[in-house]
Amino acid sequence: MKTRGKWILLMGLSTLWSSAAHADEGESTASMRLDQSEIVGRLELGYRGSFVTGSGYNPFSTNDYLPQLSLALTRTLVSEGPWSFGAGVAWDYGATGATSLGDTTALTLDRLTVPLEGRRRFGRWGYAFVRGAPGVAYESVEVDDPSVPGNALTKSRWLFAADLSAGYSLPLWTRTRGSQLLSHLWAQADGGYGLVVDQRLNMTPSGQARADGVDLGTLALSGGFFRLSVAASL
Amino acid sequence: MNRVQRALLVLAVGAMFSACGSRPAYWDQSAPAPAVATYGLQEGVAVVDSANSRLVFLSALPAQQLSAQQLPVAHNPVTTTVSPDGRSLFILASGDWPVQTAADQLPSLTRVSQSPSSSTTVPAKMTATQFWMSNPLQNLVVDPGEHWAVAYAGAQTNFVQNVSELVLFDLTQAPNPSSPSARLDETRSPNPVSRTIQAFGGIPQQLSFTAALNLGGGLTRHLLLMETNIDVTLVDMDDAFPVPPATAPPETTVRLTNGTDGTMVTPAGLAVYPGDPSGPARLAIRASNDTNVFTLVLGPSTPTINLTDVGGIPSDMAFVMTDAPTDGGLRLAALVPSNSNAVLVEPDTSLTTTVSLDAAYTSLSLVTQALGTPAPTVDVALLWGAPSGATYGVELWTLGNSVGTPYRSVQGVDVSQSIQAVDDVPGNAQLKVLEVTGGSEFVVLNLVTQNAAPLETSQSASLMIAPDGLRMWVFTPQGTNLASIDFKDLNPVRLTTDLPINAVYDVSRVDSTPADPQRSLVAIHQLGTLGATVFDALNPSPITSRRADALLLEGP
Repeated sequence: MKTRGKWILLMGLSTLWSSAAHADEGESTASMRLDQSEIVGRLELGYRGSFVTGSGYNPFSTNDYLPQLSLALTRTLVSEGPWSFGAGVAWDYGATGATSLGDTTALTLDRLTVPLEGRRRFGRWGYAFVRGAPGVAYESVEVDDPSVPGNALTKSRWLFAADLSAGYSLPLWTRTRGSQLLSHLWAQADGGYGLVVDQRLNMTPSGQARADGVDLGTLALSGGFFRLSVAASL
Repeated sequence: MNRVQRALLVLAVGAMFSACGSRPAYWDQSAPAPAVATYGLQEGVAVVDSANSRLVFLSALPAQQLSAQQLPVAHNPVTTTVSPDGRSLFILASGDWPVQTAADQLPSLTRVSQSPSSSTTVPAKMTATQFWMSNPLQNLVVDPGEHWAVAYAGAQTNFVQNVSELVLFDLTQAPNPSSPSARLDETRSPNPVSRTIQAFGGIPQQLSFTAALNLGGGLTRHLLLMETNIDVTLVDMDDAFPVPPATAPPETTVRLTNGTDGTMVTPAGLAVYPGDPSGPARLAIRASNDTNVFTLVLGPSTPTINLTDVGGIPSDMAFVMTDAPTDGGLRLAALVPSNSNAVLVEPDTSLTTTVSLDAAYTSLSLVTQALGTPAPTVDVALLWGAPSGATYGVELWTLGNSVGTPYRSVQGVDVSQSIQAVDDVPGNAQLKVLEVTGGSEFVVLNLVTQNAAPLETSQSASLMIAPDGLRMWVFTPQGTNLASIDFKDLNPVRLTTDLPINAVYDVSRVDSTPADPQRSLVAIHQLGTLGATVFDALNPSPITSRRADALLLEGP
């Protein structure tokens, strides 16, 4: 399931990349691209930090924080004056672990979402945006305990997820002449609330039919987050 | 990077660090399983996790599943014991010292037991009753009838300790006060009661409760017997909880000296005769440094005492019934291994009869009821504990022949090994399980047929007899080998587990009924966060066994 999700993401990224390249063909000058930069495709790579306060997270982290890698590809779909609207696909990947009661624990989170983004340009100062991103998350947890002979306690599940955030994107670099694929680099920050449906941590020993696991309560990864990204307009 | 960018970056990083709370320290502890203590009760297994002041009770469900319920228990347990009926757990705790915050606890005794339940699907809820004390004490003894309990200091461990202090608990009454901050209910006795015993310099070594004793004149009393290193004290338990301003009757202390030069002697064991309509209750005391046995006649007033020299330091003794015409046949039987004999003492006159034995037996167990002898008023004793090399590891001593023809009264049983312990089989008095010295062999002895069936193990093994008396379990501590041996055919059923076994408990299943008893065998693995392997105790098979993992991993 995890591999399939990544393939879906890659296919989506390649499709958007292709669309962005076609959109780029119609642009003739760098000054026009500066004004309409968000009309074309954008590739974002960022660091996302989520704040998780639920007690179910305690076995997997020594603090209430989940660091993630964030990757998104969006394309502007509609533009009217300083306002525009874009959509795309995004993938957030987070992993954490801890030593809890002597056990080695691990948690990974793959979040696949469809960002729907409204933007308001402020000339050469970049633009502000509000982003909603419904999607799915694949949570996978593991506890290695010596009382589980040869196997870890594990659980994995696909869950509904959604983000709502607001942020600002500042231009760092702009190509002033020529007609190249890359036109702008941006520094971007946004913050908001990420929702992941709670998961019951009734973990079972993998591959053991006649063994009972443990119920670690409810894992709730919903919470506030921030994201710092660099983006490239294509 | 311009000012706006820098400000955004600082804000984001600041938010990241300011919001990162740490988790509860509970999770940072090392693996709890090696430090926990487990106790087998009738209805499940109690796991006392002292580091986290909690008790996890494991109940057996159908299909070899386990259910766990948690209960907070007192801070810093020092002594934990299972009640005589196996249905409760007593936890004596020293609490917190010094008491500085509201969360700190005073010393206490907690009784944990299951609430009554008729459910055959859901385990009964565990409840706790806590009795508060003012000072921490280290030792606990529970009355076999579960009416009383006593805590005492024993060897001194605190900064200042009154070694003569006893704290008495009436387990049939609610605590008074009900909590450390509650007011004392003055309409009834405090519970527990702290009491300082009249001290002659002795340090309490061992305490025990008697059954009801017939003191003559229709007077029946329960006594607490306290052995110090120089004397024995008798405490009347029936009047130990007076409602103030009434006071408890004083205790009786019997100072022990030898009969010649007045040297103090140290008690090493007691025997009690409860009395009957024809004679009063009696108490016998043996010493570790004197060849005399002390016999006391207990009555409404001060006990009378007799000294009898048995020719050597006795290792064990018991009141027995013989066919002797005097004293109603009552005698004190004392084993004297240094002389390889037993001595029968007539309690009133101190007249003795010496019975030669084939070996230096150190222990005796009365097995009269098991044999169902035609003359049930005459006792039969099983002698054991002889050093290796003896002709017989155990012998049966028939007291009916002892007084007149002592040489005919002892009969060897076909067990040549040295026996270190004799275990009773619940509900099956005619069977005894003899543990051979060294731990690699057991003998199941049928007292009626005198058939001794040896069971050998390839490694030093531990033994657990099921509370229903139908089977026993043998396992290798820290090993994975386990065997069930049904007492009907003594055929071992070999089993194995994935993980090393630390203890096994044969417990009643939640769906068990008197008409359809069901039991599970819970093998405990003290690794990581504690695991268990559960077998169907009545029909054990590795195919139907089930494992329960990470039992203590759940959060506090």
